[in-house]
Amino acid sequence: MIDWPWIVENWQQIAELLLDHIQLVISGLCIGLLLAGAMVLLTLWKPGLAGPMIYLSGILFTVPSLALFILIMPFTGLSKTTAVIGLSLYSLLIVLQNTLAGLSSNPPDVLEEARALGYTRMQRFLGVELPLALPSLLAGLRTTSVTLVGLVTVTALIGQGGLGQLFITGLAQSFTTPVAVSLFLTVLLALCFDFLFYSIDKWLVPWVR
Amino acid sequence: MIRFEAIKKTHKGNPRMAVSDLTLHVREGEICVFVGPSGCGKTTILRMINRLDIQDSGRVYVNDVATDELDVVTLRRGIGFMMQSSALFPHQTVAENIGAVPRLLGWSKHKIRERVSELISLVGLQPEFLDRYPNQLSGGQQSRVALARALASDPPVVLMDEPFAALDPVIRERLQDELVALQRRLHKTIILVTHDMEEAIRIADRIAIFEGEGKLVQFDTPQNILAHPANEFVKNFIGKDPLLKRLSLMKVADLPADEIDCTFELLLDDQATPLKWVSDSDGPVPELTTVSNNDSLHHALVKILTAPIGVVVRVDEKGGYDGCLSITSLHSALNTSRFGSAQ
Repeated sequence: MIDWPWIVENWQQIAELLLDHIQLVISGLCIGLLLAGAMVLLTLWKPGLAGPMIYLSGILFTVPSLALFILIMPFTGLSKTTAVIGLSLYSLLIVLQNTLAGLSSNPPDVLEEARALGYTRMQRFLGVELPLALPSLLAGLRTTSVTLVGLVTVTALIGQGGLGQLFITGLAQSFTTPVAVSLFLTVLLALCFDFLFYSIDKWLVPWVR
Repeated sequence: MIRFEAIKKTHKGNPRMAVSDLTLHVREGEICVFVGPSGCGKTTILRMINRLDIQDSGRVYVNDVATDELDVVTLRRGIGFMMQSSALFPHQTVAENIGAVPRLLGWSKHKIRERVSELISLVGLQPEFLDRYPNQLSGGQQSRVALARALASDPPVVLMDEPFAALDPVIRERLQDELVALQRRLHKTIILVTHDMEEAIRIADRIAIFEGEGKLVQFDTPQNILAHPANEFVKNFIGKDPLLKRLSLMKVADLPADEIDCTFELLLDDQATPLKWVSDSDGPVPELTTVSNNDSLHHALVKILTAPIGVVVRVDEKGGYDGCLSITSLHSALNTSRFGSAQ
């Protein structure tokens, strides 16, 4: 069933694809987080923007991933950039939505108390609102990382895709081993990311609600 | 200390006044309680002091400085604030919560740590609470921490918005007593908002009673308000048995001592401590009932009513004989001008 010698023979290539995969996930995650951060700061300056942002990211999220990559392709071609732009966009949507939802469900009396004690707007955001929304933010990152591990395989169709390429190889040659290896490694990777953010949450959020 | 001058305010989209032409002076070092039905504007008035709410016209002065002339952040850091839900920061330990304002003020770590440990014992909590998070505390403990946080920078003024409303009655009474004791030690000016007249009577030096639309109807000591309610509204708000409430505010020591006026004589030991009633005749002798000068008249009344001969013996702090008390002395105390209107 599984051609072990093939795996041994190709381990170097598999490792490269795995690294490539991880790199794409992390790029998407980081850029998405940065963009989400910038947009959250924007809502501090214009609080009215939060509602439309949540709404818009909800709508954008319904665009199928493949369609998105195809839409971007005319501008950036079959490149890594295309993949990263798409991945970042998805991670932006999830992280932004989670963070804004977290911020808006912060207990109003606690925020009011901070105001009453003499916190400035920035101190209130950094010292109270953001830490309180941290569980939502981390949950967003956790979901995003797992989603991106899956999404990266799709980018194989535009010539990227890390482990996704093994799917295509396997499919084209009707050869199960690469497909199985790819499947195994992506699931393992997703679990690793999941556990990573779970641990970060435990570490950064000791006050548990 | 805190002066409201000709304050008016309406809320957007509401034709009724939220506060109608309020002028009020809260003296330094007193506990002033704002009381009134919900929606009467008392909380809005409180929140004007640190500019959480802004009046349409008129001015608020803290220590003779108009609040709108100060930087709002500086103003707020100089005034303690505690609200109904203790509103502790859930992500910070008790120590971090208490140190919040000192941190904003840029105190050194060392100074903050010292102040925090001083405060935790001031509000009656063990130091091991310092490392806990708010969700690990009971409601009463959270209130204590919130009080410590309000006092952290040693502000001369502390504002409290229904601070004890969410607590169970036993804890509430204990915290009320502790607040009064704390205030006597620290001489803070405390303004506390409540809808509970019992609470106001219990802790206030002076009570400001508000009707709807932020209208001040009476501002006086609890004694005077109970004895001379300004109008029907105040009378209703005080509730039943204002007399019993007055008695619970007065101490045995407030009354002049009476001489013994009964058929028995009192036996004292050489420290002047009353031992028992004695009689010349051979008949049975009633049991001795004593009250301390520190007891409330409410407590004394119960003792008098249950004493076999309707007379109780007063003792001073050292337990020494200090005259007698009967229903007649209570009656005259409540009807003399001594407890009448102060103005």
